[in-house]
Amino acid sequence: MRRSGGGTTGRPWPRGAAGAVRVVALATAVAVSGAVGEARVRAQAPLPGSAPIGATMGATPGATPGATTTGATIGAAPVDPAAASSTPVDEAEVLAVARGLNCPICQGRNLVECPLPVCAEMRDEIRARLAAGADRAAIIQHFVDYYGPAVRNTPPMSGLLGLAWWVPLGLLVGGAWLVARIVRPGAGPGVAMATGQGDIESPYAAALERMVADRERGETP
Amino acid sequence: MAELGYGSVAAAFGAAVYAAVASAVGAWRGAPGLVQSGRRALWLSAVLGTAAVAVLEISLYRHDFSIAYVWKTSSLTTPGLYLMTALWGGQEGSLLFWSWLLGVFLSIALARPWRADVGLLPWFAAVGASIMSFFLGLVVFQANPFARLDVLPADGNGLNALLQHPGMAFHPPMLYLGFTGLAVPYAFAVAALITRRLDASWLSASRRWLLVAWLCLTIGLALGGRWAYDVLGWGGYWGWDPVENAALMPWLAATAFLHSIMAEERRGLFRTWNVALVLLTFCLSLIGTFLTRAGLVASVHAFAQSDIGDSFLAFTIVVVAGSLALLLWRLPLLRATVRVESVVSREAAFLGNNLLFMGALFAVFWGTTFPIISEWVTGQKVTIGPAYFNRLVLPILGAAVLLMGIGPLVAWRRADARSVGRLLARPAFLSLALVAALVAGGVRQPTALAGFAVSAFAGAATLLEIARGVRARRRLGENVGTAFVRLVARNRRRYGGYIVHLGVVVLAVGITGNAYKTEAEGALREGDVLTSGAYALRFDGFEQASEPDRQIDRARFTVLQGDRSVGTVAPSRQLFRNREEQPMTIPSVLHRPLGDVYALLGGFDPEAGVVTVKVHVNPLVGCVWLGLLVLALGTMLAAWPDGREQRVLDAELARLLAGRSSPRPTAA
Repeated sequence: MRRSGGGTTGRPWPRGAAGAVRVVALATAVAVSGAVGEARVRAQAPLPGSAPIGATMGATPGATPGATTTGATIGAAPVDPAAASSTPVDEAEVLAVARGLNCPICQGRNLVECPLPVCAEMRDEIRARLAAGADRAAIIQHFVDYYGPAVRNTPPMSGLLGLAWWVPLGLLVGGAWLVARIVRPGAGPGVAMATGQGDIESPYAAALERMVADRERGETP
Repeated sequence: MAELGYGSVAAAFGAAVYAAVASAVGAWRGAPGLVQSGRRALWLSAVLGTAAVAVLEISLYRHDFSIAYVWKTSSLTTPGLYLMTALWGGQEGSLLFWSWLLGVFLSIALARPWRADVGLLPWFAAVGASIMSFFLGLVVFQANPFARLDVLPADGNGLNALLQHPGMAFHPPMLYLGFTGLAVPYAFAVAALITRRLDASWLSASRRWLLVAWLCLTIGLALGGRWAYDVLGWGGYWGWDPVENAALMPWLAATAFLHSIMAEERRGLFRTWNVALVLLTFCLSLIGTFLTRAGLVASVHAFAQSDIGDSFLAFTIVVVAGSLALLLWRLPLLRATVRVESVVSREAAFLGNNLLFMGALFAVFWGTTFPIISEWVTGQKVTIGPAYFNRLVLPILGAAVLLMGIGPLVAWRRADARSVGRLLARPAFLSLALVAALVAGGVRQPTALAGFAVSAFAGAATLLEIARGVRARRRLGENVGTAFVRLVARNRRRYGGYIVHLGVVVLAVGITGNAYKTEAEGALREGDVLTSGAYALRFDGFEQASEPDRQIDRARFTVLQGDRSVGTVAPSRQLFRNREEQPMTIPSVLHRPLGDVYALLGGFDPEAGVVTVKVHVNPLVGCVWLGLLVLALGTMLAAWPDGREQRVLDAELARLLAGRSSPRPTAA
């Protein structure tokens, strides 16, 4: 029976990592460089109580959903069972690589989302290269050489295109430096007073501030 | 009919131009008569705009296909609701709608009593009317929605079927409300810069309008996400598409402003920065619109190509350059006279907040424009996909969520680090306990754990802060319910803000859930089962139906959890009349407490008895919608006018400015 439900994953981490958060802002730079360093996919731990992730196609004996007119093979690259068993390829890794590459025909869809046959072929090629022992960077480089840099949907960290990453990070660090300067006592732009004693408030303003503070604490004014 | 509509727009354009000129000249020369006539002209322009919108709506409902726009965006079979929304279903109508909303907003803003702001408002009217003139000018000269067809078609082309969804019906107008709402604080800021009245008056006017605009943007973004989720079928709600980014950028800038403005109200701090943020927010809404409408960046949004790009570019450049020049010109007036005294202070927390939001904003901007810049500079075409934004922007926003838990607990000026530490100990402990529990329960992904930890920390900190307020009131002898209601009612801005923060926490939890999305795809015969994550789909059979405007092919599935049936899904393929070449696959979603089961048809072949289906399991996605809802409600609470509180703050700010600033901002 032909295996037709190949396309399951947990999400490779970045896209889904939505909201999941690297904690410290100023460590963002480190976090990001780390992120790209992690050329491997993280193994997806299933949610508690969930079945093992992995599409298991309907195991009704005798039911052999063959190719349909609409091309039922969308996410289902036919894998040669012999090859697959000799060098086991991590399907999650295939999908992770595929997710980083764009369909060369339709703009803005990655190889996993795109239903075109060319993308299925490209996924097969990824699987074959992984089976041959190539690492992720080499596979991506192969496709970049073939289709041009637009095929990858995440710019590399190095080279001219690396500016995509480093300029915003640089500005964030620069902004942090600026903030640190403003906050540093006795320095920073726009400081009129020389020492920490600077701005003694008028008694009236102090009273108002107290009043507002009291009100905000929920006590009667 | 069309002539009446076009005439109204043309007259509205004339009135807006007159309003701009008369207000500016009147304010310059100090001629109250001229100023008053300008104000009336602006109102007239808004009325004429309303008439034009009414004419277009009537033409849509009467199926007047002699008008090209009506033919393009509706048909005889278009349902009533979508006849109304066809007003913004195409570019010409959108621009008319935009101009009209702007007219209405400016009219409302100008209706406020003039006594206090008599110096500010003429310039406000001049700036507002100028912006309005530009948009009405586009409608009159470049994108006329009342243009006639040479032949009279029997039926219309019909609204793009993808857009026939309640979310899409109200997503564009909410965004337009947001964008036009941003023009009001912008006009106030420019007027304040011109007149040098950089005091409490422009600030409080701007804050309220900006908050309303921010709310509309939030709702607009939420509806857009919901529409994408329900209709587009890729299983997500946010794809970092340039058009989405274009709406997100002003939202981020406005969020920063809504926080840092508190430092100005309370301490007279960051005055330059706040003016700059208001100017930036509006400029970003123009830049975003230009980027997407001019077709510079590839986008899934269909309106990307259009010919208003050049005019828009010229206008955007004028606005950005003008704002910058004005700001630099008035810089000496904006010097803060107090400063941030300690790292452990509310002021410093707001600075941190602004740093993070600006960082996220720039990352979004850079990622959106990088393909253009790269192609321009190196000739290399590159694409920047969602992974880039998720890696770069989400950690920054996550840090903002963390700060959200800390900031409100820190006192102004100089807080005692130890007492802040004491307040934060319990949230930190709760958050660590949650992480431990999750790890024990099998959650291992670092990003997911970080997301849940940060959310739990900020949520607990906020809830405990609210609880402290309730306890304080209970000492006055109120029961818990009364204490809570009075607490919130008497400090709407503060507690409305906390409710918004809780909404953000829930939203963050929902986004974190993405880490455990699973998807599967397969070709099934009746009785076959496809498993994804904790769920499985069993194919039950085909179903075909015919409706007046479309043919629907459905496949029915039972959703199984283990061996138990928990519901059904029926994804469909819909063929709209006149658009048979473009079948639409509409996903079907089963909402479960801990996540959605989301099914989409790939292939449909009843003769062979095979259906191809793609199923996504999206954990916690419901939190996204719930969080956005809470956030919107909290904003409404915070934005509700509270005269008492505002008066106290205004008095305090006036006091701060008068008492401390050396170059007192006086009228020239």
